[in-house]
Amino acid sequence: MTDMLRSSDEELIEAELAAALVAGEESPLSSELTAKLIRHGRADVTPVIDLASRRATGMPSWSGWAAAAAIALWAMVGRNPTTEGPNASVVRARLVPTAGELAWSPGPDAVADGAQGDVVWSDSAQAGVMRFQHLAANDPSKEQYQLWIFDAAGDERYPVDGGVFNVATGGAETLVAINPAIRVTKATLFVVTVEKPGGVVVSDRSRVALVAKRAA
Amino acid sequence: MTDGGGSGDLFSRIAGGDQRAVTECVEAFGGLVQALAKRWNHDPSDAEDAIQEIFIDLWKSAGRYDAAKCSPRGFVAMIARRRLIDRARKRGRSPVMVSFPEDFDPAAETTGAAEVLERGDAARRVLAELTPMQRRMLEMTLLEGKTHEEVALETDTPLGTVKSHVRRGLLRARALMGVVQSNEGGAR
Repeated sequence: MTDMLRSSDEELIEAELAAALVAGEESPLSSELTAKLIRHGRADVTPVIDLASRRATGMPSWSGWAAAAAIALWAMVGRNPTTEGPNASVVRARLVPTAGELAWSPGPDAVADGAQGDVVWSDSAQAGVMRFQHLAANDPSKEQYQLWIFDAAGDERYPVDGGVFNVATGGAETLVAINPAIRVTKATLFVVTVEKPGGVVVSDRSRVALVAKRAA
Repeated sequence: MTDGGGSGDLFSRIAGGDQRAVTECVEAFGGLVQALAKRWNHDPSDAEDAIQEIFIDLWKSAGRYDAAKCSPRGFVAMIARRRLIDRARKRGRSPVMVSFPEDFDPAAETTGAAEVLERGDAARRVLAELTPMQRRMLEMTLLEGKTHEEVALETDTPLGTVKSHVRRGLLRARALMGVVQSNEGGAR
């Protein structure tokens, strides 16, 4: 790259000076704005999607426009947890000895009737994996599951958006790697809700599927 | 505040579609962007709109970062200033880009620099050398888009003195950064 956005030396020097001038005025962004920037950023910064590998790692075998729409949605939302894949099981195995397992408790929504599983999460590693069995399969064109992480350091009205994900077959075990939108300082509660496709910014919590609470 | 050190590859990761880099970038540079936006927008909602627009620009431009040209913070500040100036123009203000004087003698100015610093360090060094009034004048021109005439009026300082102070700061920065007048590819 030779032109650096066709910038002149002068403009670059002015920018360096401007950055230095405000160095003492910098303060953290609000959590709401941070979440918004990351959410929009992840929608804008989309990875190259390998369709073959997505299918191989547990993507439902929808065909035609439905699969295309679902993949486009996945790309748009961007921050979604990764469903299954070898990495989720490896990550889970590494985290369990230190992070422990929190069992899911079914919420009031019928999709979780008979559901089991657990969540493993490490605050220090900022990584985790959810495991589900008998959680009802969802139709991504109508609704998706969305994870919320309550942070002891945050406002409980605004839990951290853990992203949306799908369950392809309700009976089989499903592993979902957690990739929160922003850093979670101390996770205290994990909640899975059912939301419209693509998820929501703030859940009305009308459809709570699963809850896992960490001991204080 | 982060100095952005080691953040250079963040932009290439963003350009490559690494979504984790988005989070890291917002955490690393959110404070800088916010500070710049607040200088140009006194209304908090305007500042927030500006911050969002700046980050959108940053996602689009990340692939064009060149570590040989500027620091990560300088790159972010450049993207931010462009957006902020554009917004100010749309509001009817006419901020000016400060230009180096035509009689600038790069050889003479560079002679004063015993060493060439990393650009972020050079900027900090320049500011440390300024008097409070000189620094204030630089802030008004670089962060608030004011003309030399406006700075002169607000600081009750002769116009020639304002131009001299602002020019001296810019030239000193250029010298410390080891930038030569041959323009090393800088397009106009």
